[in-house]
Order: sequence, then structure tokens, then C-alpha cells
Amino acid sequence: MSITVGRLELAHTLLNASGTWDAVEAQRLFGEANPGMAGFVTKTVTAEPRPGNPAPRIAPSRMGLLNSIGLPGPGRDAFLETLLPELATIVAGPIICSVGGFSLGEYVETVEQLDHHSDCDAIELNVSCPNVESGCASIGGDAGETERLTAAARTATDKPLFVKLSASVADIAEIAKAAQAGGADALVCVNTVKATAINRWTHKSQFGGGGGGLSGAAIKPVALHAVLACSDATGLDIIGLGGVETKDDVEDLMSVGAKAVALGTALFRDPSLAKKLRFELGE
Amino acid sequence: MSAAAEQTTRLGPFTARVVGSEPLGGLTLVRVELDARTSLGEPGQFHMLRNAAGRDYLARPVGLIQLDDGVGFVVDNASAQADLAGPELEILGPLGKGFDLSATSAETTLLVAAGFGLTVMPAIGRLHTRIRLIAGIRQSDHTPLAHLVAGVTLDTPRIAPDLITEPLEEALATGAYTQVLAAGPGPMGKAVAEICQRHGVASQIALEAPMACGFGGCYGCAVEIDGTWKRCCIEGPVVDGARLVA
Repeated sequence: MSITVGRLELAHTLLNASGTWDAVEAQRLFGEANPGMAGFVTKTVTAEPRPGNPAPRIAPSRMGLLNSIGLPGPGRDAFLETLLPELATIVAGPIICSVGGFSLGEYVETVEQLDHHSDCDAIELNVSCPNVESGCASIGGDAGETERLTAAARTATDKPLFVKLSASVADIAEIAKAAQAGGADALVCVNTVKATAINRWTHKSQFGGGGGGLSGAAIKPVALHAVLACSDATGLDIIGLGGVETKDDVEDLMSVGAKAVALGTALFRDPSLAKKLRFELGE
Repeated sequence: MSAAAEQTTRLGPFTARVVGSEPLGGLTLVRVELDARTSLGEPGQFHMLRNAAGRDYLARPVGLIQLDDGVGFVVDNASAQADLAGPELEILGPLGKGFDLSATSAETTLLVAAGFGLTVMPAIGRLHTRIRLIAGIRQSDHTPLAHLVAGVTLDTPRIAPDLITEPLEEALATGAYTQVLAAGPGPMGKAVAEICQRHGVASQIALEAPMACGFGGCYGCAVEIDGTWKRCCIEGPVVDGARLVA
């Protein structure tokens, strides 16, 4: 049974979270680009190529994973010219392009170019990455900035426009309302939660790039609260994510307002998880 | 690097039964029984390993050690007694790029390995008996790890702070070797690559990095290759040593 999320039609409810799945490598390794997923959400695209943060980038946590990846990627031009067309040949379902930036202008220029690209089916504004020094989370932490960015992106595209929010804010419902006021079609709740891991010898962050975000089972309650609060505040369609591992997790998020659900960290230990959950959900 | 890296790996982890646990000095050899469908992969490739009933939230990358009488993996004693005790483990793989052994011969190829990198070497030693191995270990009670590598010509293991670089320099100065295959911690791999480049000898280095997934999804296993940060699980773990000293 197909569903519609923010004007985007999906064959079923399960997606990947941006930055947690490399469809090209999955195709090469497993013979399936996005197994069990209704579409594919790309890693966040930035204007310029980025190597990402220095190592170390990950640290274990009792109930999840800490990361400070720092948005590595080929940059907008290579993404549009090479990667996106390749994805279109291997991915099942629509392609949702995640967009990041370090200024409003960077975001809007990428959105404009994606609007003209036939392989992009929807756009997700990442205003919530905790692992870069400027842009992203600093925009998504402020309702006014979020509304301005969303409105500017809205004028640049007619494609379905999603805004991915952070729970590391004082009141996520206010940010959600700002995204709605700017013209978002749907919300994505939530990105990793700001967190860090400490080097016991230096008493400083373990990560080469500072920052840090927590994902995995530890943040499922945070995600539930965020989806509930944003749904109540806006009535918008929501893609829920955060700590989803089981059929119950999917159903819990949908019970508080999520229309689709994305898998992230749990895919790391089982790349076949979406297939298994589809079977358990009877989809 | 190797053709096997292009193979299709089974989607999702499979279950392996723990069939034995043997003390190995300060380490433990955990033996597992794999089903017939399980590919061991090529030397240098790795698997992601996790006990679903244990405390580890995510799997850890390990190199399966291929011995004459079975397969297993080597871990620290605390892990062997807790998270990786079994009775069953989830294993995903083989993953990454292994060694290209097409130009390997016991006469002209030198093996260098330290720490857990030594677990890669039995598979090569079985294919090329009497190949010379320079081994480095962190502490004296890890010495049995070096002696697991049967069939090779083993130099007396170097125990930290003694380094493998000194015997490597001496070996390459003889002019007898055209290739070095190395596995071990990052600083060792880079040092081996630099020494090989100085002597005009080709090198393949198996890198190590913490990983969350092992198949390119998490971008967590960043290592410096070609002067920038790249994913160890995709570019490697075995890379041309020249890419580490560019």
C-alpha cells in the first residue's frame, strides 16, 4: 500500500536516514542498492567537496553510537553530474536529496540546481547536523533562521521539500512551526542528539573534529517526543527516525504522528533490516 | 585491489557457533564453526562480529584467522569472556579489499605484521610456505600470537618498544625482496610504506580503524589515504603503500 509523505509518493513506510547508507557501495557489495527501502535519502550535499572531520570519528556508547563525521562528500557539482545520475540507475523508489550548507545562499543554490535535475524527487534541508562549525545546526537552532531558509528554498523549488530537525534545541515545536511557515511539505524528526565522548587522559573530546552526535536506541524516546511535539504543533507529515530497530519501534513512531520511518544506526549491524521489518510489518 | 572485492557479499549477518576458546598468552583464540555458504574471503579482508546477546551495541571489525584446523578470531581476554563468549555470534562479511597475492612468492615477498595484524598472516603462510615474517607484538605474553602463523620463516618477534622497522630496513637492504605485505596499527603501516618507498620496494598495507558498519554506510572509519580522509572499509583495508606516503 503506497503512502504520500509531503507530496512524495512512497511504496511503503521505510527509508534510510541521510548519511547512514551508501547505495553505490551496497549495490557493489550486496547486489542491492537500497534493500527493503521505499526510496533513498542521500548523504548531505554541500556546495564544495569536503573530506569530513579528522579521525577519530566514532566512539561506542552503551545504547548507541557517537559520531563526528563532518559531512564528507564530493560537493555539489560532482554530485549533480556523476553521483545522482548513477543513483538513479540503481536505487528502487524516489531519491530524496539531503542538502546542507554554511550560508543561506549555499543552500538555495543547491536547491535551485536540484529543482532542475530530473533524478531528484524531493529535497531534505539538513538544518541539524551537530558536527560542523557553522551553518546546519546553527540555522536549525533558530526559528527565524529556519523560516527564512525554508522560505528561500521554497521559492527555489516546487519539488517536495522536507526539513530535518534537531532535538538539541529548547523547543522543537517552535522550529517545526517555523519550517511550516516557510513552506515545508514535511518534517524529518530527528537528527543525532548533540553529545560527546571524552578522552580520559586529555579531558577533551575524543573526536578529531570536536562536536559529536548520539544515535541509536538511546535516542528513541527523544525521537518519540520530537515527532509527537512537531505533529501536534504543525499537523505536517513527518518522517520519524531515531533508534528504530524493531517493528515495535516503527509502530511507536507512527502512533505519535510519523507517516514514514527511517532507519539509521541499526542498519550498521544489519544491512538487511529494512527487508526484515517490511516482512514483520506485513508491507 | 583484489578481484574478490567485487564479489557479492551476503546481505545481513549470519550466525556462527562458538566451538572453542583457547588461551593465547594475554589474548584468546575464539574458534567458530561457519556454515558451508560462508565465504572466508581473501587475506586482508575482514568481517564484522557481534554477539546479539552481549553488551556491544554494534559489531566490531575482525580478521578471521584461517588455521590448518579451522577458523576463528583473536580478541583480548575480557572480550572473549564477556561479549564474544558465544554460544553464537553474528558475522557479516567478507568485507573490504584484501591483499593482491598475484606477485607473491616466498623468495621475493616479505611479510610484516604487528598485533592483531598477525591474524592475517596464516592465510598467506598456507599459500606460500617458508615466506619470511617479521612480527611485532605489544607485550611478551602476546608472543603465542606470532607463533600461530605456521609454515612461515619467523624472525624472533620484536616486543615493544623494539620496533619492526629495524629488521625491515636490514632485510630490504639485502635487495632480495621486491614486495612487502604488512598488517598492523596505523603508525606501523605508514612506517613500513615509507621504508619500502625509500628502498624502491612495492608494499601493500592492511590498515586498521574503528568501524561501525564495515560497508561504507557510517563514514566512521576515516584513515589518511592519498593525503586526505577516506573510508578504510571501502578504500582498504589493504591499500598500496604508496598511497600512504603521497
